[in-house]
Amino acid sequence: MRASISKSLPLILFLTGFSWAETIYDVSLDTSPLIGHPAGPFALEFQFNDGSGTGDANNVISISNFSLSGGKLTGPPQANGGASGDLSSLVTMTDSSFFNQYVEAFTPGTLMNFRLQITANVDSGGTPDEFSMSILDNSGSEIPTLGRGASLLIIDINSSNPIPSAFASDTTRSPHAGGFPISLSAPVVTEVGTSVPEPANCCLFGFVMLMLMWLSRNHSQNLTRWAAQKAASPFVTRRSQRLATGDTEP
Amino acid sequence: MKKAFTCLRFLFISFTFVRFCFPSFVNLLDAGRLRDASDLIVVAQVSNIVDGSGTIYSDPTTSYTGHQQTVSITLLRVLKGSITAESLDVIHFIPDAPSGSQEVEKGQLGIFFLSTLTDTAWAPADQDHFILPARPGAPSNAGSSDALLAELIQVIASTDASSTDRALAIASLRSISDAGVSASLKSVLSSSDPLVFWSAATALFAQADSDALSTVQSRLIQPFTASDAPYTQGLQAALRAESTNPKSLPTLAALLASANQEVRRGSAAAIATAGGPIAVSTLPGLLTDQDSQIQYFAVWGLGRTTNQPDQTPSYPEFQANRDKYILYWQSQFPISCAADVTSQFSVSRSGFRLDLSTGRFVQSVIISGSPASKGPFVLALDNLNSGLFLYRSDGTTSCASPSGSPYVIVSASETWQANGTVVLTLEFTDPTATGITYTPRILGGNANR
Amino acid sequence: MQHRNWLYNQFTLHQQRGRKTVASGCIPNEFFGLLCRTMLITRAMVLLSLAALAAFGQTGDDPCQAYADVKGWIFSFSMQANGTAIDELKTTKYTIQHSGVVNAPIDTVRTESTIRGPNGEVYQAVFQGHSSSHAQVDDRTYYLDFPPAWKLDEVLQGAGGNDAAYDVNPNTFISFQPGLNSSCSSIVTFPDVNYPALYSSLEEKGWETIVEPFQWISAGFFQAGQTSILYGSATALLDWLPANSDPASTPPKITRNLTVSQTYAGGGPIIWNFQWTLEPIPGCGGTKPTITGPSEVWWFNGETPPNYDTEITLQATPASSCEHQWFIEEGDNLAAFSTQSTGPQIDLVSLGASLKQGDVKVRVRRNGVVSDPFPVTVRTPNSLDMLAPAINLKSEKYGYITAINFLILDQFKVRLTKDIPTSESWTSDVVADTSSFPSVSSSWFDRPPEKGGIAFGGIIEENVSGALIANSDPAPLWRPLDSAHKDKVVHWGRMVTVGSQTPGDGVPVQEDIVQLFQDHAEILDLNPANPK
Repeated sequence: MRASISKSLPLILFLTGFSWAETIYDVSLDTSPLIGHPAGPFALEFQFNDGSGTGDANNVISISNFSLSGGKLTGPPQANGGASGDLSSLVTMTDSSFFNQYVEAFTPGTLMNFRLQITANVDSGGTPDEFSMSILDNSGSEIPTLGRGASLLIIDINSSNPIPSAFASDTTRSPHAGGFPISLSAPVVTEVGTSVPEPANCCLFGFVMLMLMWLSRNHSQNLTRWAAQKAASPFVTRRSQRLATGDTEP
Repeated sequence: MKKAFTCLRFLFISFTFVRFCFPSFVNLLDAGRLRDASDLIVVAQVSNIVDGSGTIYSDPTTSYTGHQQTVSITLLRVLKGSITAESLDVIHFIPDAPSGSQEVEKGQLGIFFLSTLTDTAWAPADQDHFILPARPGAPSNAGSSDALLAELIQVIASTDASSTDRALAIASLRSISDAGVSASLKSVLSSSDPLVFWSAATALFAQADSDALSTVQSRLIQPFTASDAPYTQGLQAALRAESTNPKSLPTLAALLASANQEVRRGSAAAIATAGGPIAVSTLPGLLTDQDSQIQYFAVWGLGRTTNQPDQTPSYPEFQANRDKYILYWQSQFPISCAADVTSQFSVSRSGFRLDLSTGRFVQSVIISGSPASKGPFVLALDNLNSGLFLYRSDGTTSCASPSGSPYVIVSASETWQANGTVVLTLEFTDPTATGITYTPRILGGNANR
Repeated sequence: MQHRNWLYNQFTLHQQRGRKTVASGCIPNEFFGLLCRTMLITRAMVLLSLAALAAFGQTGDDPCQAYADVKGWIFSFSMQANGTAIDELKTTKYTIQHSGVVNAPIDTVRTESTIRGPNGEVYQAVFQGHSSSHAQVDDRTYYLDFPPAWKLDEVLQGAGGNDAAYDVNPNTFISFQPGLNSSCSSIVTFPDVNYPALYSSLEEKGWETIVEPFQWISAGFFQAGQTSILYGSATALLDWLPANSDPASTPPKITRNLTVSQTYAGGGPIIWNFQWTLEPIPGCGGTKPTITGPSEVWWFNGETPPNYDTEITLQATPASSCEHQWFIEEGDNLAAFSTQSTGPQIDLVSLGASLKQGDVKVRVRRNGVVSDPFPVTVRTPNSLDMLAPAINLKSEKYGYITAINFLILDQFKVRLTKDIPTSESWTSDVVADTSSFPSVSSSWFDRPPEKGGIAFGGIIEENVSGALIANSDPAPLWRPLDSAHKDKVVHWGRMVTVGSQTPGDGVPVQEDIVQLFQDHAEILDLNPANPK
């Protein structure tokens, strides 16, 4: 029965819509080069685009704890597709459309910080969901960077542990809005852990597990203990990751 | 030539009977014909317009209701004929029903083409093309020794003129073979105005200008943008005219891989018309094209080139018996297609990001492996959603099935370094943000793709 | 002494001498046989010639006359008689005498001979004959001019030891009527002296046909002491085609075998095998004609616009005054001869459009020699294609005028390049695209009348206006085409035809929809209207 339960786990997870973990990152960006630059005012732009092409909404991005040291959000927020919310509290983005975007203008301070939570359900078909971030100048174009599509941060959900890629600005090109090239360091992305599953999913998951346990008369004691531990513990401590600046595309 | 403009003939001074035509079918806009038909050509400005009473005008096939209009113009320059007056009146007929002939308005500046009506009155030499655009000042640099051509060349070169004025001037010179006109058209190939650009490009192609074709080759290969699309419908016919210039043939052969159907059709038609070795080497590869017109040009061209009239059908006959002709020519010119070597590689794709500065979705594709097959290698995108285009593709498959897939070159070399990796950045034009899906396929070898 | 009667329609053979006698017919010995054969040959040739002459001697309106001529034929045949061996023949002279009418001497010279013995060895005799004699029939004089040489191959076989002698009936003759073209309605019968033949025409005409195969229309046989006439005629037309001519010979020859079976009192049958070999001499016959001229003609559904030939003229070369027979080998539903001509030139008019290049094939026969097929393509306008970007112009009165150009293409998608009349006709009323507007009283419903025009250089230009702003709801407005909206207002169906300015006349090339949007016009649903 041990083997049958373990083999059933992926199915159970799928049926309950339960991602084993949401990875949490803290993102920090030195925005002091933007202060007073003639290409401003600036806007922060997030995209979360579906890889399956069908808008399957199998992943969720949450952006919270947003702060601008010495700066402020000037809004209003513009949300397209599966994006909603407000950076002053919480922004949620799902890949319910192919193209999902959140844009909000801001006055830069010295440092931009926010927390990013990202689920990791891998799309079939070979193209992953992708989260990206850029800063727009007053022409609506991105500040040139060394990243694909003028992005500062890209996370492809191509595994259960997606690896972020951060990029510095391209100091050889001026912004579309004019002015001298902007020198932005690559954002610092720190993985801080994973989150618990949603309560509803937790209950559903637990119910299914109990059903399997009831059906199984000879299940392994270790397996039961393992499952109980996962259900009870909110966090799994993981080693932090700090990415070097100037990374090119993976 | 005046007889050619039989549209306007005044049989009675009282203007009670006028023959003319202004249906939606109008006389061809052609500066040469207008010049030949005119007694007087002037650059002038409309100073006054007086509408007369209603009347009925008839010609042998139908009749029209409308009214006369007296247009007073102040002369600025005389391009043909002679006149001492500084102004004159033109008697114009305005039909009640929309007929396609353009009316003039007070203050309008233009080139007027006139025929003598009476000692003191004039009529449009061509009711359908009363006026062509002009610029206020006389041409400073004589783009042409011909006064009329110089005026029109000035309009074309003027970025202050409207798009439609510049396009009209280009259209009027379409059939004029003149070095100044040709130079003027080539100078606007760098224009960002799509109407002006495509008007000039198609006019140059229609004159079998191989330099112009080479200049815009990359733009013809890439998918047309939304701003280009409304102005590219005449490309097929224009490109076909390039068949008369041997220097254009290599470019035409390259354009067979264009992402745009009109370009491929026109190039295929041109090569089929030209015949010769290039037809024999390129047309067989078009027998499997998805477009039936392109298939037809391949059949027709091979039949003409090899002098096999029984295998040179008309288009209706080809449509009725397509398989018969395709199979015959495939048996005459068997071709080998590039092999599918996808299994010898590992293909890893990133997600998509919309680059707001270009408006295109960007994706990275990492191709790695140690293939046993020889290159060159291309990455084809099979079953790419309709309405989407791969930006700066290197061609479209027409041999290695499925055909119609855009492809980019992965490696142009025959050799691939063991465990080597190539990273491609693909850009997609997706105007409606439709989800982008495709199946990657790697083709290897020098055979037809 | 054998005499050869030179007749216009018959001749007799005279036995010269021989070592053996036969009951009748040609004696098997060399001399008699040869003599007989000679006479038969000559007579046959003369008969053939005279028959031709007689055929030609019909009324000048009879096309059969064209096929009757005697000039220039080299006529030879061989005979095989199941008789005994013959002696080597010697040079002799023969004359042909027309029985009861006129004697026309003919000189023949035999230069050599080969004799086949009783065991089947081949005997061969070569005759060379030339005659500048003439025949006088009533008040007409016929000059017959043989070519300098003609050859006779004779094969004689013995009767296997039969010593019976064969007497050649001096009056035996064979008359052959040359057959007539099957298209002729009359058959010349012989003998008839009342032919209104024209001497001058005689030498100018070429021998167009020969008859094949010979058929006996009345059987006769050689009878001792009597004149027997054997007639032959044919009902088929024979051409100088590789299948029936000797490809190794130049000019081509036609060789046919004819068997005459003769019975006679006391013996027989004697089987006469005649092998006719006919070959024309250069000048009027034997040279293969070549057709030259335009290889394409146009069809406009009954219209004949200028600049496009709906009728073309073809020539047969090298030039010749001989009779020509023109025919359309393939595609007679696509083109036809506009006149009947037997000369070296003919006019071809279009009836319908080609499905393939050169699917009308014209040939000409001259003296039985047929030209190679001359392919002609019937082109017709078939579809339209846009020429250049459409230009949307502002109009203060109508909101906009959209200028659109079309090229006219034929069925091979090749453009017409010369001026051509065109027209448009409406196939539907003006139809509103929305239920709420426009009102039928608005100017959106004022479309121009159907009209035609000249497509200069094969280019149709049409300007489609919006509606009168002062009387339209919604009001038309102008936008550039790359910013144009797709707000349909009204539309109507249209047919474009080429070849005439009269709406509906000519060849339909496109059925489409004239669509008026609020800010521009388009031509939609471009379906080439292929000629039905």
